[in-house]
Amino acid sequence: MKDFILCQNKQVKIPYFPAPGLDPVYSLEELCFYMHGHLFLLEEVFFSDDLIIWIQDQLKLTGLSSSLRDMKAAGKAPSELTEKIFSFSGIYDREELNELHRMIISLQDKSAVERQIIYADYLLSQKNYREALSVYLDLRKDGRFMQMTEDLQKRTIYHTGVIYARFLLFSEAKEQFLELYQKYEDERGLQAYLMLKATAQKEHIAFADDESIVPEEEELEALSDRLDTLALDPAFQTARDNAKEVLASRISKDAWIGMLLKKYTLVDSL
Amino acid sequence: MEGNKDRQLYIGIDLNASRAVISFYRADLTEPKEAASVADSNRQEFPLAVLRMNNGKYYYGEEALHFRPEAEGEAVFRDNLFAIALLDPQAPEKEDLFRLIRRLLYFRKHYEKDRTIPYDLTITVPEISSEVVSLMEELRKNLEIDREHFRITDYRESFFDYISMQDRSIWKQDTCLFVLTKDHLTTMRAHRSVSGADRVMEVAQERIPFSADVYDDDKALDQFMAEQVKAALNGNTVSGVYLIGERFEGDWRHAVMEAIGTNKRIFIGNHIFSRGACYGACRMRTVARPQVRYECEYRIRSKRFLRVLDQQKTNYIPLVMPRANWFESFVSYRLLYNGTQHFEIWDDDSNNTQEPCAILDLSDFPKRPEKGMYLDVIAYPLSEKSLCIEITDGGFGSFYESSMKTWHFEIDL
Repeated sequence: MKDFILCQNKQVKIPYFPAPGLDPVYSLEELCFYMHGHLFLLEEVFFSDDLIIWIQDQLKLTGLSSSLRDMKAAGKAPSELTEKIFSFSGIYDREELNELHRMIISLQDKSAVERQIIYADYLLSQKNYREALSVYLDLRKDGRFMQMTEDLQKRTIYHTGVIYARFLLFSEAKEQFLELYQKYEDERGLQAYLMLKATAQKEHIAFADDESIVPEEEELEALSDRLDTLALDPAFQTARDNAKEVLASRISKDAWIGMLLKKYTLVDSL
Repeated sequence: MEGNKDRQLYIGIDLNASRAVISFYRADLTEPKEAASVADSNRQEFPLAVLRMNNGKYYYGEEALHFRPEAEGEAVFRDNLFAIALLDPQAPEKEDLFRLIRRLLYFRKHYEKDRTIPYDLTITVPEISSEVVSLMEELRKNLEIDREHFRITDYRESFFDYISMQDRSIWKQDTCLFVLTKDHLTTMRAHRSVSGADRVMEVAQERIPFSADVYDDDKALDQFMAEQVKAALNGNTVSGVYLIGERFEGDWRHAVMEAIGTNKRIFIGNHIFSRGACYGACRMRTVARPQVRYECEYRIRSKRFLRVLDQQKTNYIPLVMPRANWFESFVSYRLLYNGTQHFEIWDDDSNNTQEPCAILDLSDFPKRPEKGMYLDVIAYPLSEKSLCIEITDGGFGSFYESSMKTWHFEIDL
C-alpha cells in the first residue's frame, strides 16, 4: 500500500474549466485527475494559452508554465505535454507514469473521429445528454461519418436515438432506430424501435406507425434465429422470446404490441 | 506578514486576576508604550470590570468602577472577569472579558489607524493551565485572529522575552526580577546555560506572601526585601536586577540596594510582562537565529511524525512543532488519498526505526478513486503528554463533495 501524498499545491480561488460543460479544477492535483480520466481529449486544443496562463498566474507554477510554453513553441506532441504535467505534479510513481505513457501511446493510434466518439460515449455515460448529442450530431457532418467503421457508425446512430428518446423526441429517435435496423440490419434498432413504440402508445404519445416494420412470419423466424445468438443479453432474450411466441402462436401484430406494452415501460431501459 | 516590517505592530496584554495592562510596540519605537486606563493620566492598569447599562451602553475598567455607584439598579456590574471566566466557562464574565479586551485593542489606533492591518497579539498570564489555554483559544477565535498572529505566555517567559531584547550585558549572567504587590513578592531568576549547541535560558519563580503591615512600612519592607534579595542572589552570579512595582519608587530601599551590591545593572519600573509580551512577538518575527532560547516544562520534548510521500520520496512530516510550548503547537496538512486507509505515526524521522509507534485506521472510508480525495489533517497537543489528531474528508474540488467524515485520534507524546 502506498503512503498518502503530501499536497504541495493549494486550491486556488479562480478555477480552470478544461472543457465547456464540465467541472472546473482548482489545483494541479485536480487538473491531473481530470486529465487522467480524459486522456482521449488531450489534443493540441487542450493545451491552450489559457491553460498555461492559469498554471502560471493561479497555481504560481512558473517553471511548469514556462516548460509547457517552450514545448508548444517547439511543436512537441500533446502527449509529451500531458506527460510533462503528470511528471511535474509528483503524485505519480514510476510505475504509474509508465502506465499512463502506455495509455497515451495507445490513444495516439486512434483517429480524431474515434477519440470524439469515445468522448461522446463518456458524456453519455455521465448523463451529459445535451453535450453528448452535440458531439454525435457533429460526427455526422463533414464526411466524418463515412470515415468511421461500420461498428462505430452503428454506435453513433444508436446512441443518438437513445438520447432523443431520453428527451421524449420519439420521432427523431424512431428515425435513428429505423436507420439502424433497416440499413445495418442491427437487431438493437428493431428492439429499440418496438420499445419506443410501446412506450409511446402507453404514454399516449403520437407515433407514426409504419406497418411495414412489423415482421411477417418468415421475418420473425429469421429474427428469432438471429436473436438466439444474442442470448446473453437479457433485453434480447426477451425480444427473442416474444418473437418465438408470436411465431408459435401466429398472433396478430396488435397482440404482439400488447405483449410489448406489458414488458417494456420506460425507454430508459435502453 | 505584509507591509513594512518597521510598521508591524506588536501588542502585549498582561492579564491577571484583577487587572490588565496593554503595551504597544513597533520596531521604530525605543520601547513599548502602555495605554492609559484613565485619559490624560499615567494610570495604566485596567480593572477587569464591566458595567452594562440597561440601555445597552457599556463602561469598561476605571469607567465601570466610576459609574457603578450611580448606576445602581440600572445596570449590571461584573468584575474579576478573568478569574471567573477561568473557573466557569459558561459564566457571562467570559463574554464580558472578551468585550473588554476587544475594547483595549481599540487603543492601537494611536499606532496604526488602519484597523484592517493585522497585528501580533500576545497575552501573558501568571501561569498556564489547560483552562487558560482553552479560554485563550476562545478569545483568539472571538477576536478573529489567525494562529500565527496570536501567542500566550506565562510571566516567566515574558520576563525572558523582555530581557533577551535588552543589552547582552544584562543577561550574560543570571538576571533577577522582583515584583512587589500589596500581599506578595514574586521572584524570578533567569539562568543561562548551554544545552548541546544551544544557549538556553530557564526561569525559576517563587511567590512569597507577606502581610499588609510589611507593605505599608518602609523599614519593614526594606528589611524583608533585602532578605529576599540576598536569598535570590546567594551563590549566583547576577548581572541584572529588575525591581517592579510602584512601591519601589521612593528612597526607602537602603538595605535592598546594599543586598543587591555592585557590578549589576539595576532597573526600577513597571509593566515588564506586557512589554515582554510585545518583545516576544517581535523577536519571533524578526530574529531568525536567537542568541539564546527559552526552555521550560511546557516545551514539547517528544517528536511525532507522519510518514507520507512528498514528490514520490518518503518524508516524515512533524505532527508537533519542535521546541514549541505544547499549547502553541498546531500543524495542518492536506494529503491526497493514494490507496491506503491508515496512517503511520513515527517518533523518528531518520528512516532507521523499524516500526511505527502508532497506526491510525480510518474506518468507514468513503468510496473514492486513488488521487481523487483530499484528507485534511490537523494535530495539536491536549497537554504535554497527549496529542490530538483530526483527519477530515476534504472532498476533491468539484469532482467529489466532502462526506464531512472526521476521524479523531489521541496518541501519547
